[in-house]
Amino acid sequence: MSTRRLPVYILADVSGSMQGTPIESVKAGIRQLHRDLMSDPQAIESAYLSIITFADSAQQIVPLTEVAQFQPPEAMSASGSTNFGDGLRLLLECFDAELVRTTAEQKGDWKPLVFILSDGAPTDSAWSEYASALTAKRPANIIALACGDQADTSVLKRVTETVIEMRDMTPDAFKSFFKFVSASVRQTSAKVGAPGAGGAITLPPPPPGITIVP
Amino acid sequence: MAETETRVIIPTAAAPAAEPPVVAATWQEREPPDPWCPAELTAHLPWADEVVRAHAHTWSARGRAGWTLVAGTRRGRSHAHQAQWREDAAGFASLPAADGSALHLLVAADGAGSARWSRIGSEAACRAVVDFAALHGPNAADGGALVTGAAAFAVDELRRLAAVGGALPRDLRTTLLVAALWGHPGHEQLACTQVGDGAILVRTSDGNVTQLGVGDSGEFSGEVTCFVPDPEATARAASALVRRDAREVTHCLLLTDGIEDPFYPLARRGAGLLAQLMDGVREPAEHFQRQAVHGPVLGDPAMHERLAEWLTFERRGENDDRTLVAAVRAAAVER
Repeated sequence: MSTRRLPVYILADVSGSMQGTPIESVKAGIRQLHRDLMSDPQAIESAYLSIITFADSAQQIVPLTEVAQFQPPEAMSASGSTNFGDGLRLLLECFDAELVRTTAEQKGDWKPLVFILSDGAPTDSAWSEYASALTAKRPANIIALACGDQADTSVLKRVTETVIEMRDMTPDAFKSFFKFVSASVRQTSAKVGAPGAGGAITLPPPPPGITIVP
Repeated sequence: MAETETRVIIPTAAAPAAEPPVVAATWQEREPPDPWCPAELTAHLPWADEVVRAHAHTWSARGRAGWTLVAGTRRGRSHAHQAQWREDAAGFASLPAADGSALHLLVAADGAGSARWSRIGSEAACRAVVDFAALHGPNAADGGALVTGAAAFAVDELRRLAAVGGALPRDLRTTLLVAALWGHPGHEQLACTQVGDGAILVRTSDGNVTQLGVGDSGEFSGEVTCFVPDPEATARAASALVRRDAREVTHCLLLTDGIEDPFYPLARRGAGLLAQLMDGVREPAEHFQRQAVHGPVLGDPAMHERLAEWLTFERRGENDDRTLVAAVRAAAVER
């Protein structure tokens, strides 16, 4: 690996409650995210995108891929339960398999950005174990979005301090969220090489309709 | 009569056909809309008008006792694209010591991108180090105490600036690399220290290139844990102090991470970097997309112009500001 990457993971809930407009809005949002990142040369050179979905089980539908080669997934569909634990398990597996850490021989990736999106509460019992593993390792800057009024923000808070809430699940609301995602990735990729203390990042303010969960 | 089939088409959230094509952007050079010096600090920076605000600036000087000093700093493509100022700074000084020997001081700084006035922090830190050396260097018996004292002075100066400018110390955060070479020919010593990332290299007359000290780093890139003027910065500078005999040193280089990272690991690639500077560039370095072909940088009569050219190399993803400060022994130039 000769290029340092800014890995960006989207961990999306595709359970049955996301059927219809929500899943179509997520797909449109990912297309918008790709288009936005292609308009930024720093993001083109640094950002790598991966899409992981979870319902009855989790799957990585797009492995970590550079922005210029990224193909937004069109076959994403929503059905089944909310196996959040399997999503977190797969995210941890992807970290282990895909991230490059700094060694004496090579500079590592930039600290990854993860956006978790869920509209419900976990239906599995293992999520807590994986949430603990994730917070213990702290291998990424994680932002979790609770969308709709059924999302359990206390669960997302177990994974990350940075939880935002979007009560509305209209196409426009999802569009605003994905604009926030692309602004966050662009802002982070613009600061690579000049980070804050400890690799901390500063995110853009959330758009109207999206609030920070204290 | 057959029934007419009625189809109702409900548009989904965003039909792909309605979306504009994806177009890859290219790098742009843009001028910063803001003045270099924030209004809040204008009255507190008497040297602000002296600062060279060019996006790329290189200069050199003949030092004492056969040493030549050169510095180059260049705004990275990322800052250029975002219409931001260069946040790296550099400085050097050649001073007479009380015992008739010479003292050479090198300094480089890389303002933290997350700090709103880091360009001021890096410049002020470099100036503080040079000012401290001018005041205390000529009578300093110990160059080690001089570089750590200069770093501590830079910390104090940035905290003072933050206070008078109504800012927080973290608004001025910067890395800092300092090196001093002193002593009579044949008895020269070198001391250096750093806070944050970047690298200090020395080359000796046998051709060996060594990195002195270790930059601040973590599991991932850019995980710097301490900057000037953080509370622990003075202690970090003291603990990072490296001293060595400099009788055989032909080159001493300070590099900010804009150069260190594209050439990482310097333990393996430092010699190649020095070779480019000493012998010229015949082909791009490993993994580089583009590098201007030119003759020797160090030793060329117009070395600062050559350095400006060398600083334009391109490597994918490496678009940070770049700064190099070097002291070169005359014998190495004339070899």
